[in-house]
Amino acid sequence: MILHSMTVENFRQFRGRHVLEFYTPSMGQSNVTVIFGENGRGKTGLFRAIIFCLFGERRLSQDGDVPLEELQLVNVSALADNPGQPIRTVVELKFTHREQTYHLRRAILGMQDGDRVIEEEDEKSLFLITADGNTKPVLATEIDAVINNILDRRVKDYFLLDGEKIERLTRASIEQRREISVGIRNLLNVDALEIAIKAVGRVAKTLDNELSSSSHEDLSRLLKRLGDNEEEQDNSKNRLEKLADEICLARKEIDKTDKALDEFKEIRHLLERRKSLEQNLQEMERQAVDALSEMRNLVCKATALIMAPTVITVFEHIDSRKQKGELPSEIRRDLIERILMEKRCICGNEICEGSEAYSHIIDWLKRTSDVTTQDAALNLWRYMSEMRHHFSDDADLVEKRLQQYGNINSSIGNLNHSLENVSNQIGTSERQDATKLDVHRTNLQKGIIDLEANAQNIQSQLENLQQENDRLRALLKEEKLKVGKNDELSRRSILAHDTQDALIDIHKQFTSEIKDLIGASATILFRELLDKEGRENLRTIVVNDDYSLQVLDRYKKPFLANISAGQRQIMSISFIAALAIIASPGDKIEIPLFMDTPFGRLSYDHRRNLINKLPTLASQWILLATDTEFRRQEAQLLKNSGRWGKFFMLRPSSNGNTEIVEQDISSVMAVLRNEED
Amino acid sequence: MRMDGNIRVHTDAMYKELYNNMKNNGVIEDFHELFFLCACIGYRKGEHAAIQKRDDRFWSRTITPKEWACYYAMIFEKSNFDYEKLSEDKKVLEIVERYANAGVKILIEDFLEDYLLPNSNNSTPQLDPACCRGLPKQFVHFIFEQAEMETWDR
Repeated sequence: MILHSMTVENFRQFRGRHVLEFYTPSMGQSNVTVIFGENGRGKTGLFRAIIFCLFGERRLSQDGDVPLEELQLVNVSALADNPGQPIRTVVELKFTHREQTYHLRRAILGMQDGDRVIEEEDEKSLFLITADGNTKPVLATEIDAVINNILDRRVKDYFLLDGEKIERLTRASIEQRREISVGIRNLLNVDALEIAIKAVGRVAKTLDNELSSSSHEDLSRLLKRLGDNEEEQDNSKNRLEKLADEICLARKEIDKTDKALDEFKEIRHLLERRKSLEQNLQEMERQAVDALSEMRNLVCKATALIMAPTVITVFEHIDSRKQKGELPSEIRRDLIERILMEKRCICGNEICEGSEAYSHIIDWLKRTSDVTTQDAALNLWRYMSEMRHHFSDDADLVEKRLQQYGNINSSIGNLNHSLENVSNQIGTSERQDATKLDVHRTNLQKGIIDLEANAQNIQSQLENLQQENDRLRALLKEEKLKVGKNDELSRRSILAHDTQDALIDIHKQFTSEIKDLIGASATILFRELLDKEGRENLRTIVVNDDYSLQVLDRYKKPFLANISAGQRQIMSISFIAALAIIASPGDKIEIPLFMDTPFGRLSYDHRRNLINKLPTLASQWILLATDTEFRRQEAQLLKNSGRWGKFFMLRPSSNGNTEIVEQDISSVMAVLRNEED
Repeated sequence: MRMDGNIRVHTDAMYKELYNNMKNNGVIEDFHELFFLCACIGYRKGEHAAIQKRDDRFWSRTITPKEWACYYAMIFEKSNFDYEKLSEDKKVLEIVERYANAGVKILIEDFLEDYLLPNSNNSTPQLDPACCRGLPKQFVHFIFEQAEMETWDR
């Protein structure tokens, strides 16, 4: 199948009519088209448009359990600008398949009804374009069958390799096993065989029920035990299925959280810096409170410092009196007062008023003071002395605390300034919730680990039950054979079971062959895509019995746990491409292969190999890429491969719409980024 | 120097709110601290002012011995070292009240003005609650600055 052109009209982000020409006969071998645009511009939307046009389906496997009504196809701004008016959304494909050219058109009508949008199928048409240029319509009732013959709708998803699917397959998980199991089952295309296994199984069960109600006691007992065993197995399988669903849901939630976190990736380091600044600030503020409290205890000391000159003067005055012996006075005041009153000295001599001795005694009296006053002066001297001694220490302490507090305040100022800067860079408060998302993600991850451990337990119980089942079946068969010589019912039961076992064996064998085929095909591709170092060590991709993927090293030992993230991606791409190859007749992918942002963790060598190899594998390779994935380096590789035919840019236009602009490959380099950018 | 604890210490009634505000906002722990600061400022600046409307502020028993010692030192120095003044607790406090009354005005002019409610300064100065957040630390800082302005022999 070669896709010539696609026309989209009012489809999702694409307002109005846009035509993408993928192929013209003059292009020859150039079968690579690059569709380049930022996330959300509508790259995957174009693949969705193809699937919608081919099958009328609007859901892709990557949509998971998004409700159908949320997968709106009609352009939002066209609806908003035409309230109450129906808007026609059209996708047209022109393609060639096995030398026959087809023109397929599918349309829906959409209308805004209050808050919701109603979308209804409008028309579909398919025309065959004959060699002479005439068109021949295909009956509407036959369109689906014709398309299904070109591309089986069950395998359609293998022709879109999106980053998410690639990532999903790199995980050794229930999800990976489910994906692989569904992929292989779709490829088997053995619906009739599966129906036959179920039908024979029902017959065998009916016969067993009849036998258990017969009079053969041992047979009945064995049948009862087998019945119980099978019931228990069913229960375990159901529980396993439920656990798998829960794990898938948790993983989807993680993916959703990761997408939300991706938006915050650019500010993650800022959030961490802010957290650290906030912690430092908190610590500094705590220190400031402590310092302030210490300073407040110094208020009295500091205020006393204001009085230092007075304290010193007073101290020096009293101290000089003390030095002179005037304080406390050597002669008591009350004694002098008694001498003056009695006018007689202690030696017995009389003292006359106005005499020289009398004047001396009056002088003494002046120099003495009463006991209370002397005590007060001495007390004051002691306080002044003590305060004076401490002034220097107190002043030092005050200065030290001031400096300390100043330093803390200055640090707080700097931290606040840095915080303000970081917060400005972080921007809105919504963006500041990223840390909560991180916690949510961690909890989900823990939940998944528990669920997987639980699933593993049930799986091992199931294996034990299966062994017991095999043993019981063997016993039962022996017993039936014993009884069966004379019993028609037993013989029929044995025959039914043998038939079912034979059919199951065929199914198993076929599945195993397909697994081996996919493994072999994936291995060839894997080794071609790997870099030299990987090729030396990694030899084979194997699809295990439980549908998990494994890589064997050169010694044929499992090596998956040791390979790098890039190598895992290469393994996933190889596996999906192998599914697409096997789904196509011949050894080439017959349907255009879409790859949506596939380069994620790939090294330059891996990218180069992918760019060189894939165009040779598929009829067409349509690469959907962002500017970080498709840079000048990748463009140069693609140019060198000689396979690059077209380049379209998806550019934002008004009202959230996207316009498609084709650009000549020779001028593409100017719009691409360098690795260093 | 008996340090009599049963004396009522007064401030001007117009500063009642200010004293309460300073205590309630955690700037001071008790009234005697602010009174001590005001008295020291008034004394060192050589300013004293009679109280217009006497208002009981606190009991003298809350005054610490160190504060008492400073009050006595003021009076002793000012009286040209009259020892008789050292035994008159009540008189000492009456003089100190006047220094504190002058000191509080200086405190307001030099520091508290920015923290007062607009136009409250003329009648009963009151702190503006909106400005009080940084006051305690600035208050301590102000005292340290006043102390640094004084010179003494280290």
